Amino acid sequence: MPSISLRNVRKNYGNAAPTIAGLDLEIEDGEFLVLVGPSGCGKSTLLRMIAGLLELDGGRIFVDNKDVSGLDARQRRVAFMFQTYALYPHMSIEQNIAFPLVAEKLRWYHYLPGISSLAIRRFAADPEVARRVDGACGALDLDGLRRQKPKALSGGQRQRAALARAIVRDPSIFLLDEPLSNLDAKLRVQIRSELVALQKRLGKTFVYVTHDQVEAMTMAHRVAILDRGMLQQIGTPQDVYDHPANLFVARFIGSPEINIVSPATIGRPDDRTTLLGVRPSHVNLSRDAAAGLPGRVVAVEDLGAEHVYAFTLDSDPARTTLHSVSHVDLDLLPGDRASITFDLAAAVTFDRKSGLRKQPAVEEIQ
Amino acid sequence: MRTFRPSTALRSLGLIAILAVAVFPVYWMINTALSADSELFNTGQDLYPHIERVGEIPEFLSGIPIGRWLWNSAVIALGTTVLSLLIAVHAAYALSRYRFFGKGIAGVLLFTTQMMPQALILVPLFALFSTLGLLNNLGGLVLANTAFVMPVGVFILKGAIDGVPFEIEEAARVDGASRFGILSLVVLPLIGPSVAAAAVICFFDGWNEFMFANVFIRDQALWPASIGLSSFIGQFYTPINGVMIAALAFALPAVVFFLLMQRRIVSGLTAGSVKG
Repeated sequence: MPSISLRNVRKNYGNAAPTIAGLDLEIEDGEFLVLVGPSGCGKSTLLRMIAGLLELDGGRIFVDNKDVSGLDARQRRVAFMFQTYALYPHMSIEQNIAFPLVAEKLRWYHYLPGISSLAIRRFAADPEVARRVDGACGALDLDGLRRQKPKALSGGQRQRAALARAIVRDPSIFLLDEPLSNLDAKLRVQIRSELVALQKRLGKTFVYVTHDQVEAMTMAHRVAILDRGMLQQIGTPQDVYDHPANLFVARFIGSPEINIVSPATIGRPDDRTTLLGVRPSHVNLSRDAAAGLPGRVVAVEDLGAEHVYAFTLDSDPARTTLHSVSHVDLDLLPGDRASITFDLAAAVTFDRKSGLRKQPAVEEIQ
Repeated sequence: MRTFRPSTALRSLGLIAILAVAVFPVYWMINTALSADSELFNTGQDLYPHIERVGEIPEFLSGIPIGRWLWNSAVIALGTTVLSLLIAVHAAYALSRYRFFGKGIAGVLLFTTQMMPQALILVPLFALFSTLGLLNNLGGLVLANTAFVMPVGVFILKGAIDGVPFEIEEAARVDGASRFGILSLVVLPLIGPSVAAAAVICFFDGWNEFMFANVFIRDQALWPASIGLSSFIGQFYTPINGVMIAALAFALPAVVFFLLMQRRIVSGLTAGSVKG
């Protein structure tokens, strides 16, 4: 079974800084790994290198301990799902799904104009091909759409068709490049769970690229966070949420964003080497201005089940906006005075200079 | 409900005026073909065509080797079309998708052929063809025409291939198609309308070409129709109506070819982007 391992992988687009500078990553067999990071962090580049669509500028990629670095995409036998689905517009859904099976049977003389369409039709009629296309169509509920062209399908249906084309060859590695970003919000949530279920059923290795940390947190066995071509942290969603390796990871994972406060703000002016990270759920807001550190509410978001309060502290000269999430409605409006207490037991300490997390936790203070 | 708008009427009038300018020479060609010598050279041509003279056309055509000429023209035009497209598709794909040394130069050189007058290269080409034994040879004419019209095809097709989303080609690569497979199974069907447009341009270039044919072809049996037509022009007498009859015969196959291709071109234009 396939495990993927990337050793010192490099990609240079000719700019001053390499897009990916010596990256190591071990992806386990049957794992759902989500590669997440801001745009331009190199996550799509990395995925295309695993697929063989981009050449490496250094390093090696192993699948099952076999070096595949020199192989072209067609020899790696992976499935790839594109953000735009990349269905072939001139073929019916059926032909789209059959294409990976047909393509491997074609010889050079089948490529001559005129002969190609005949050859495709002949190979698509092959009973083994037809059986597998039937299976893929059935699995993704596409039976009613088989003769349609991609143009006639909705976004969600195209998505399923692209998925059917991916699974028809029964590849052991699935690479997905932001497959949900062209869908509307509701469909996205639905297909998210369908993808997770599919991965569980197939038991294959999934590598999934997204810039959406919610997708990363909800779908992944493990999350790998990338920034500027470097792996920042890899771990389970809970692990990267609770124990972010550095300030970047802490800020990137979690919504609303983690609060980064300097110790001086909470009454420890001597500590100049650290920064504290406190999740909004660990910040308690109170209407009683004397109950903690005084400040002012600047914005309130009512999400129904919870309220997100944005506020500034009087003790912070920069007036950085901090966030607090509360399940009870505190009946505060922008401009109101309030006070907060940080649950410092749950706080994460970072080195101010390097941005790296410091191991020991801080004792709780008011 | 339709309401009358002055601007619509004006626009229609304008269109009719432009159409009249475009169509009148064709009409006059038909009219002249149906006029008698006496009218053309003495009394002046009537404004309406003498339909009753249609019967004289086959008689006139049977007196000249028009079938032979049209066949030669067709060989040159179709040969130019096939050869040009074959080269242009591959060149356009390379220019659009690959990075290679000399890519910019290659593009500039292709463009240069379009800026250079054909007459400039006539004498060197004559010398070259003479050495290679390509004079008096329809294949030689196909080569010469291809050299000048193929770059146009490259530019048309490169533009079209640039518009094919790269992800579709990546999908085909992952699906196991080879480079040629991607070109012929995925890219070509998507740029079909542009291929048809390029085919029309190549065909007409070959069909209408006069200068190379006039210089390189000595043997009357190898004359294309363009040379055949010009052969009517004599020092003392030119049968204008005869020339026009032959010109009609010359125009007809080209019109048929264009109508065949036109449907493909228009269907491509209305189908919109390949993104679907």
